[in-house]
Amino acid sequence: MLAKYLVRRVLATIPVVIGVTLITFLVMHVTAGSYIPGVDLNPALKPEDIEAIKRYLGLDRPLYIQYLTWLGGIVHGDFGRSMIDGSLVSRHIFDRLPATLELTTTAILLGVLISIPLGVTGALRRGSKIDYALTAMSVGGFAIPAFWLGLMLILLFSVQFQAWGLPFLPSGGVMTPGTQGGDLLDRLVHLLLPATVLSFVYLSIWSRFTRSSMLEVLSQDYVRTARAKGMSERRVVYLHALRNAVIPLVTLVGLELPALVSGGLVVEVVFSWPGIGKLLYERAIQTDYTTVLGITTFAALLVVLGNLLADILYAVLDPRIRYA
Amino acid sequence: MISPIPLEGEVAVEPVERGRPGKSYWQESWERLRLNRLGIAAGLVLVFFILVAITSPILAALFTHTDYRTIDLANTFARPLSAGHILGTDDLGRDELTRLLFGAQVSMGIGFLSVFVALTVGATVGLVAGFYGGLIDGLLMRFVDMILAIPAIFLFILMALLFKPNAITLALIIASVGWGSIARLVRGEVLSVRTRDFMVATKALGASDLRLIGRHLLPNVLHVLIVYGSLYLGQVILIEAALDFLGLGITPPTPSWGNMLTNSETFFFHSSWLVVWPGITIFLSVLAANLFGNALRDAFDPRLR
Repeated sequence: MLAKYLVRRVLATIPVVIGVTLITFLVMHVTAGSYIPGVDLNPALKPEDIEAIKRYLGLDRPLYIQYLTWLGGIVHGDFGRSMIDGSLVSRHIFDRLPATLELTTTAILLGVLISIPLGVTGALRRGSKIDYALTAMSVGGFAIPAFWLGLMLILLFSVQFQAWGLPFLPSGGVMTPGTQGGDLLDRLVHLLLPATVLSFVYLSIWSRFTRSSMLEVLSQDYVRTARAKGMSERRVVYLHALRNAVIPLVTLVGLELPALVSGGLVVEVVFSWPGIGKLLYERAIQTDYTTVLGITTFAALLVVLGNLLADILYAVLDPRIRYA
Repeated sequence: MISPIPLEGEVAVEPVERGRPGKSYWQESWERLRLNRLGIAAGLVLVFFILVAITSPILAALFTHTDYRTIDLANTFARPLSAGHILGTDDLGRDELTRLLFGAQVSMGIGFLSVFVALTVGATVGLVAGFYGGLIDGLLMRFVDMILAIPAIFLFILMALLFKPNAITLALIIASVGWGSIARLVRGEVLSVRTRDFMVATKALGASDLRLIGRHLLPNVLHVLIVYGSLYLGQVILIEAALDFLGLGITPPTPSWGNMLTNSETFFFHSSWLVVWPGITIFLSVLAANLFGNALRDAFDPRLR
């Protein structure tokens, strides 16, 4: 049964992959007229030259052949070349991916580790001042533009602290320029501000979610039974209730996995963090369409793959899903 | 004779007490909303921003006596509350408050247009997919899956790059992704409404598909659209501001809350207010939209509170 489900799920992914790549390919085709900037308008080039360039790039062939060639490249990990400097997009991606993953995984981890205690506190002290304060923080945190929060934190912890002669945090980058990045403390100090900003939205959503989930679990019969048999409140809350309250949170956190690649773009730009998002932004500013498309396709395929893996994981963990 | 089933299917289920005038679902929801002080306050803040956006040229003429383009190089970086400049001036001596007033036009205009388009398209697709089911449903929803699989911010940047957007195209770019989640939401709602007795009865009376969808399904999913519309407005304002900030949306000299923050790092040391004001207006408008959306949700469906 499990094997059958897995096969069906994997097969269902194929049309999605084709659809996603087709969408990005067609967007690229819209730009194909200026595939190499200025070629069509360059007076020094004869029509034969332009034809030769198009033939060299495969632009003279039918659209579906172009698509299949491009798709074939992607299957082999080739996401095309930059139309500005001809460099391999896949090489850029793998250069920049570690920095992005460092930032986003830290932010998601911070979000989980802080939001659960906050949510539990809110639920246990429902209606108290602390609960209201946490609710207000969560509602507010969800409305703050990430780039603005980043700017404000830089203003406070980098600029003002420096002005006041206090120890201050770096305003950008992964490590102090000139170092090789071997100094773990230096890297952590650089990571602190961007990761905080990025985890803020997660904190807002997940702490609210943990709170309501916890409230629901605490009102259930088995919790009353545990209390009735004289179990300490601490054991009831942390051993019995919390476990069941965080299970739905796992799904919610799983939904953020696509954000591992793309979620940090604005924060990366604000903190000059050399990740995928900043790469895409830099290339976008230079109107390097092919690189932007290559990165977008890569990220979209990761999302599809991530969804597939998550579904398979759920099916392995929860037998009910297999039979649905 | 069979009387037509009222549009408000839910209310019909509850027995109405004799002697008390029957209240419609919308009347009941409005009464619940009216009692939610925070929600009403958020709604008023939203109305305030809308009014500011509509009347910004008049407000500028009346209160700040300047235009958002008026450059005054003799008076750059004037501090807030200095003569004639309530919120100070920017690096070109332009009045900050005036630029914030006109920035509301961008945020609110793009926000509402984007929400309107996304709701219209999303509702149509969701209604059609949910009502017909089968192959149509499968195809439409797989297409939504694909759109939503591409990281939205990447897609926005890509499209902004290709279309060099003005306010209207920027709104359409943002809506071109936003309709997907709305379609999913509406479809889910339709699936539960579709099987109710009143739908079966109406169909038995020989109502056309168009009438079933437009007169019977749509009113029953309208509350989902209103709630999500308000929440989505907050998201659009944030996305739009971020794109402007990155220099890919509305670009200077047209002032927007997002592009007023571009390069603001440069002014940190001496003029931090230039970084503070636009952020506060973005924050307040998004907060108001979110809180109002939450209040609407509580009013329409008290069980979810």
